[in-house]
Amino acid sequence: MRQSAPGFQRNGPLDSTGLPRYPSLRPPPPARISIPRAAVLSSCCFRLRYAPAAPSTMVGLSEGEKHFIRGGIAQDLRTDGRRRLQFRAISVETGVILQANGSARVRLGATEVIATVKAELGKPSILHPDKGKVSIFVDCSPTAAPMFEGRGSEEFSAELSVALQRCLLGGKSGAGAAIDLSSLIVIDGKVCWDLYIDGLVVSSDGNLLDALAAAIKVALSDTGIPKVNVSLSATTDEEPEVDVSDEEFLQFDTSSVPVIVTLMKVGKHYIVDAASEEESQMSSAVSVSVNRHGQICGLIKRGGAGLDPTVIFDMISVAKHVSQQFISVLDSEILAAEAAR
Amino acid sequence: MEYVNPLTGFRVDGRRPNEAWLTLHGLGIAQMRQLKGEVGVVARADGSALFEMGNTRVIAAVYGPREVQNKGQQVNSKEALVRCEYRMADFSTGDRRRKPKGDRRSTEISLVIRQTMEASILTHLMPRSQIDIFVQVLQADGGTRAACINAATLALADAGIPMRDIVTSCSAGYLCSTPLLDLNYIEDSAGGPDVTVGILAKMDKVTLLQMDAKLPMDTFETVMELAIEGCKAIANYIREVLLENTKRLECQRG
Repeated sequence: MRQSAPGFQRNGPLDSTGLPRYPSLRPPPPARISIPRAAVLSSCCFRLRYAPAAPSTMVGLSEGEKHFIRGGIAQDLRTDGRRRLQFRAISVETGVILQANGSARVRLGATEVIATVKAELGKPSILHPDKGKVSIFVDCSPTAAPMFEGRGSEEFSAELSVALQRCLLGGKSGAGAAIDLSSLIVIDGKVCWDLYIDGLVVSSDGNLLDALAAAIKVALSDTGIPKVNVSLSATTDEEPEVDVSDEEFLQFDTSSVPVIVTLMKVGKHYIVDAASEEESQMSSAVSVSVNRHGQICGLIKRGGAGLDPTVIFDMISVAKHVSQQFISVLDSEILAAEAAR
Repeated sequence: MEYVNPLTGFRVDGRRPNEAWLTLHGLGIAQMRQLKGEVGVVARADGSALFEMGNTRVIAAVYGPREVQNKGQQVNSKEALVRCEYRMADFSTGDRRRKPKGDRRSTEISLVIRQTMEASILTHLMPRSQIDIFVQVLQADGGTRAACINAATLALADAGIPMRDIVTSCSAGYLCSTPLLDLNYIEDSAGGPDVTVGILAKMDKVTLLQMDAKLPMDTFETVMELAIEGCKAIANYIREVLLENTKRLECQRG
């Protein structure tokens, strides 16, 4: 013991890497290229503003694999055998969460999301006394990817929530919303329905935004809002008595709820419904939300690379075309899911 | 409120507490809520499972064994590092509320699950590696702790992680002077004692034992015995699920 003690002191205690714990005794770190502070700062801002569609760090691809994916897209034959504008097989299930007023599970290949709609009685805002409130929250479960553990999913979840809110709920006034907000009113200025739409990403293999939007569309079509009987008291100051029915439910008109189609640009071409390996190769992406009548309800451009305006217009028209097929597939899946229940 | 109907002897959800206590030994899962286990529900995880106990429904996903991501967390380089995160979906409870991530309850349950699973994983076979267990509650109707442990066991088995034994867990309580197995949310929030037991099924050892509220010693013995019986019934079911899955895999292999 005595002999080892001085040596121990000289070298310092070793940590698990077998290196001395004191920084001064460690071998010097590998030479680092110094980056001007301003450059570091701007690259940080860049990353925050244009967060990629899916965290690309989770796919580790070799140069050969990257080349293979890009080459396949250029030849209109993707790694899973699809064409550029072809979706993966979609499967839809409704009524999966019993506590919610409406719920749906949507699977797009290996991507799986659950959307639920919960209705609660609340008070309309003072600015819009004739309208109900709808809010969308998305959570990415760590079961989908280890990087969503702890607070790791917050930034990405918030990005998805905001994108969905923008595409489905329109502006702050409620104009252009997928759901007619005035249908949520029970008593003007006093009682309205608050719809809480929660999305949960259970398994992630790319194209989460489109899957979530589709799941929300299905969940809304599954939603039944209890019928409310109001007995207005004589004095208007009092809280109105509201009797919520257990048996009668009202359905929404969900025909105008849009779907989101994300076109990802890889090389010179763009693809729909990218898997996460393909997503990691994209240079930029345009998410277009289109309703049944072919009207564009929202648009988000993501990714760092710039796009030529004509390319964007081209992408929008392609998205419009693809979305109509997607809506009809989704509609038939909704009917099948309702029949299966 | 009557949690056990004095006339019919039924529980709030129509289960029989007394008769089943007898049939439990013979028939298995009479008194428990309906169990459902499914393996491989998350395509990209190394192992995953869905486990349902009545209306309680959880998904577990296992990533690993893989290289330790954060070297600072590695305590012993001769053993695998087991980590666990428990999360509840916003819509999982009856009244919707947004809870901050990592609240005390979640942290405590994460810890409980981690310690319970660590006891059965052969960590010394996977030095310098890390195993992540993520548990997501989709529907909470009492007994989430137990359901999470059962789901984690299934997911670990699906991931092919070497384990000493199957760990299963079940809760039991004591209401209206009747021992009750596998409490649901209404019974759980009735204020009676809630005993959660986790066992290593084949070795017949208790790895998890938690109880709140007080209970006379002799009653506690009965309740705990009941919970252990429940755990064994679940272990049998989990074995069936795994066997079924293995058969399916064998079929696919041809």
